[in-house]
Amino acid sequence: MTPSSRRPLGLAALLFAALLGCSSSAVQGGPGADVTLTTDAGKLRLHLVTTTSEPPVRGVNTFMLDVTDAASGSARDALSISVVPWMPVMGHGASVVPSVVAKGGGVYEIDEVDLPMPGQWQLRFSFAGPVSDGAEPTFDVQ
Amino acid sequence: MLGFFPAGSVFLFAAACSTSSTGGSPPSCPSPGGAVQGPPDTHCTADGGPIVQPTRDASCSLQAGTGDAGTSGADGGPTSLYGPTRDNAESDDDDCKYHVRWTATPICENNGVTFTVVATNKTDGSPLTGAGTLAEVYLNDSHPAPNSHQTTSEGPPGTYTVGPVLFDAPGKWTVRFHFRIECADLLPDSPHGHAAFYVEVP
Repeated sequence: MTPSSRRPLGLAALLFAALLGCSSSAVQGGPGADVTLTTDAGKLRLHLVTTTSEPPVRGVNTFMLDVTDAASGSARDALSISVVPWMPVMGHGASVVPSVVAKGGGVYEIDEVDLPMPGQWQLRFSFAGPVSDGAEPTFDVQ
Repeated sequence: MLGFFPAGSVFLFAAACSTSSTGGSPPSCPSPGGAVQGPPDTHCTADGGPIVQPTRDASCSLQAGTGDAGTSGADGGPTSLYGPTRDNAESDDDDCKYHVRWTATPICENNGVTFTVVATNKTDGSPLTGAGTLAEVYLNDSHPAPNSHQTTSEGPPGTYTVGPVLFDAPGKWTVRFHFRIECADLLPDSPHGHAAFYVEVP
């Protein structure tokens, strides 16, 4: 991950922090695309943002996931990541399985995230490899 | 031969025949696809009689955090509780709440398709009104339909026009219609419903 390729992600984060009036530790469950959280077992810190820097849309979305070690803050590469879009109030998710591509520097591109209806969605992440953990960032789709 | 036509008409003719997706009329659709034909749906029939799941508006408003109907798949992740995708252009919804039939404008690759969906309550055959219908569309578990700013309108009551839907590759697609999408789907008698159909795109 080069500094230049990381820049759009950082700019998007700054833009959304300004727009939403949030600190860099935006809580999950907010209305937008920018979610920062710690994984269930506390091993990883995640920052999830759409590539459009807009809130997720009904339909197909692409996200960038920035993964760092929760203790040291260093970028976490070589993770095996699976992700399941899920609507808790519907008891069902999406029929399309997102693809995950490691971009280096702890950044992973999550593509083909199909969110076919408005409402509250989760991306249920499972991490394996050097670190085993999970997380369920939550956001709204209009 | 060209003498019969002004010079500019050659360009205009070529442009009219273009299949470019940059604007103008949609690509030609000489042999449209349609519903995949198969045996009639009988999943809401037992012992010769119909299975009907009544709905209750009070079951619509269950909020997030009050339950999670997800089940675990082989990898420990949640699996869908949808019923199977069905043949033909008519069936009951997955939970036997509604009867659904559909027609469509010519179905071809990259031809914005509009679906007309007629939904009725299985309890009494009345139109399912105010259902906020939308279509979830995918070719397989790695290929969703591209975003197309799909909209829905209702008229007459219980009849929904949904589209455009873009099929960006030939094949056997799934189109799942969702009804009463504002409702949670955690209780058996929730008004939320869904029915999926195979659509062949040439």
